[in-house]
Amino acid sequence: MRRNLIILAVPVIALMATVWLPFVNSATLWFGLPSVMVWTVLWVLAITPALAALEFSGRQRVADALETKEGATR
Amino acid sequence: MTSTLTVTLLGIVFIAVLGFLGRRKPTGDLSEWTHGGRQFGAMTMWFLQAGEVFTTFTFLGMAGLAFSGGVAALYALPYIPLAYIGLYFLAPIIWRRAHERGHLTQADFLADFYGSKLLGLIAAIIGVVFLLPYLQLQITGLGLAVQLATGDQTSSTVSMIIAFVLVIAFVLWSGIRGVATTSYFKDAIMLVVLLVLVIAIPAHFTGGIGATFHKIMVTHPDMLKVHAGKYDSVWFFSSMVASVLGVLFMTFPHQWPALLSAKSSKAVRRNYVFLPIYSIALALPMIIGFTALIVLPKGSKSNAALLTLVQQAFPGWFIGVVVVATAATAMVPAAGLLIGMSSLIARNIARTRSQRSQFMVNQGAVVGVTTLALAMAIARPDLLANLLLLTYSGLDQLIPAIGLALLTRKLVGVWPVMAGLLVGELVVIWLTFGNAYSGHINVGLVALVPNIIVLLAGTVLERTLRGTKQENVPQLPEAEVEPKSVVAGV
Repeated sequence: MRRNLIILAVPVIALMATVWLPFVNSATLWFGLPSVMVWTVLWVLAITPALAALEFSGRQRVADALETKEGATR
Repeated sequence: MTSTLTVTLLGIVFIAVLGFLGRRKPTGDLSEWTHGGRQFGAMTMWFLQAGEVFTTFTFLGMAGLAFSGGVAALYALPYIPLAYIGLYFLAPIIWRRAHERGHLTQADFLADFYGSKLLGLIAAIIGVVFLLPYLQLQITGLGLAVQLATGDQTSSTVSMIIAFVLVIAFVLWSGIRGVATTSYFKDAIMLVVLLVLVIAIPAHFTGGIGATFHKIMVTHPDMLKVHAGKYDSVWFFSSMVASVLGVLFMTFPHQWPALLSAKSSKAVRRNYVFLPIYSIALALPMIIGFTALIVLPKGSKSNAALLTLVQQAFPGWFIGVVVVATAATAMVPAAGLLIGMSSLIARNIARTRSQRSQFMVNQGAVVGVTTLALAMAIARPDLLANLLLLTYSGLDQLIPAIGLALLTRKLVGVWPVMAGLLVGELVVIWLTFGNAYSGHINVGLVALVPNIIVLLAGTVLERTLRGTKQENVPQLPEAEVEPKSVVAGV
């Protein structure tokens, strides 16, 4: 769980820091696109695998099983 | 009638037909109408919530913001995915409590947690007032698209009226199920159109996307970085933070029906895992905005940038298809806004006694609110424009109230929360219209400071005067856990 949360923190920090990183916030092109755009798009894309790692860990399956059980007994 | 207008009107009618197909039999149950019986899986939820991301503002406004501010427009790309990270943890908490306690609206949630109908009423009024200009924005966006495509003001007005009369009709019939069925079409046509535009427009005007940015590198290098001026680093960062917090704490009332329609907290979580991928599509209109930077003369209307290029590069029938995509980004989010607003009016403002009269008030509110927004969009399009400045910052003031209500214990009483909220709203109004602030930090964030200070001071005062101890969230017995108990009993 802790490892997954640390992984999740990486895109958050990277995206929040976008405008303060001189090598990102500069008039340069990466792969023919503005560096700010490439940086932002890549880190946004990284959010899905980071969340998926947490979602498909065993911990959430246990929580779902408990919720289903509670729903059945209600 | 031109081919553009013909395709546009056929597209608008087709969207409405899809909306009607959302429901086979009429319902008189507000919960079923608002949340579809809480039976939506992750896939439907995905389209519903993705539908909230792409509005006319996104479609036309993002290209316009890139045209006027360059890469500063990119603040709008990461804030929703960043909020989804937090919502992955918080939204299941909201869903579970709303499911157990029968909440239908944001105001239900607040009124129940703090044990105050008055707070629910205030939150509902704030929600409706601040969402009204947002609804009008969708209507004027559709009108602008038709006007630019046809060059005719009358066609624009007629299209707005037809489109939103049809929105009223399918929303009354289908409720959130109509929003879901139209969302599928909206996302499909919008993505296809954007992909065509992002390839064809740069290729037509500059020789391709790469050539566009190489030309900008030479002619407008400042636009490739967040630079000093109106859209500087402070504006970028604070706008992003304010927007993340606003979405994360579900301050927009129309976020709630889509979330509460989920069939399980698992569906809620799964949705937030995959939604960030969709947000990438926001970069597409921005690339078109950058192309406009090279093609259009300085001083051109920024919101018209995308459609002006479309008009110069494509035949009439395809311009009609683009306008249909724009109309979809207006009609579908507008339908979602209407459900959020009308349920607030029926549940938390009008407070009728029976479920039947509550449903009737809800249906009347759909008609009334849309008519008001439509009339203003036609007669006085600028009247609500200023109020729109307050929408994001004003709704951000609900953050402390909702954030504290997500806890399992009631740490703060209702009066400090209400005092903080009202002070926050007054500061937002004063800073926006009183010419009292010229800084670049987002006004919503600035106003959150006095909001929280008043809340903390009120809490200290309350505890000193009453000697109160921390209270647990009231747990109603099973028999009382029904939607009716929330409306009548809180």
